Amino acid sequence: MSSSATSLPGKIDINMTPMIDVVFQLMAFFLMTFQVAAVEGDFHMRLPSGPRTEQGTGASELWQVRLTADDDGNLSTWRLDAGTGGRGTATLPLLRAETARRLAQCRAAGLAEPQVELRCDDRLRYEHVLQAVEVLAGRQPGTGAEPDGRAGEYVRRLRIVRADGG
Amino acid sequence: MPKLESKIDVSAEGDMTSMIDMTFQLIAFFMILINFADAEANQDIKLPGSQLAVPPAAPPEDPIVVQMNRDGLILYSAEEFQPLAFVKKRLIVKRDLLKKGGKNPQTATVIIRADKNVATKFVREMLETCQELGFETFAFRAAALKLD
Repeated sequence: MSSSATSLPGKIDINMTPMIDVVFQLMAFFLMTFQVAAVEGDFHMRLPSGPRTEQGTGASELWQVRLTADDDGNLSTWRLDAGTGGRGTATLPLLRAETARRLAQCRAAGLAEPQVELRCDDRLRYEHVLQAVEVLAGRQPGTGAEPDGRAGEYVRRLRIVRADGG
Repeated sequence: MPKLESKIDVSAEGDMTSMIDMTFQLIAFFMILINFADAEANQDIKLPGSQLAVPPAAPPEDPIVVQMNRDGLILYSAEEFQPLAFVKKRLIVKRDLLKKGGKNPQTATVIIRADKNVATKFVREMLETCQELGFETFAFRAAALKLD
């Protein structure tokens, strides 16, 4: 019986070049498309058209927040109904305190959540509208809810309307 | 003089294993971080900052992303920013498609990505147009700021 002797190479070299090419192409793609985008968040609101609707058992109050703008579109003054007001964004914490106080009164009296109208000048920059919404939300930064733990439902129903003569 | 004939077989093979390991790690890193949803967001729009805006836990069921630049022009379902009158026609088509699919436009969420410097007038007009078409649920998008 004859034995056939075959000589096999001890090491098989796989050509890695195409794979490394593809891998570098992929890495270049991801490197070029990668962008460190800022995290974006949402203010959710339910804004039905038409006149405001009464919700809850009692009649709800209507709060009007008047926001005026200077020539550059910056917030010039704000006023809550005919009462508390202030100049510039630095005084907006006053609005937060006043709305929190009035909201507490509404709830203590068993009234329905108030409805809020933001009456803005046309040229007011959108940034200041969201600042006002944030303040009206009645929450302190860093907390997930209002101080008493209730969600600010009234803010989710606010309306943005044109100021008379704005 | 005798001629020396030396036949030296030089084969330089570097060990590629470490480099390939590292490269795959990098690819895995970028693949995990890439977000194609954000790719639709127009980077020219500077969002207003907010400490209270909440990043959505899950995308809404029927999102309609409307982007507005500082001039009040709107980017929706088009390659370029367009005036509201043009976008309104596209929104009508979208509303009709929703209705045809058995969905209520009131439950669709209109996500507004508006530039922080745009005049409120343009945002208000867009809101009124959306409301006129039957959309009621809105999400005002803001850049989430770090807490103090």
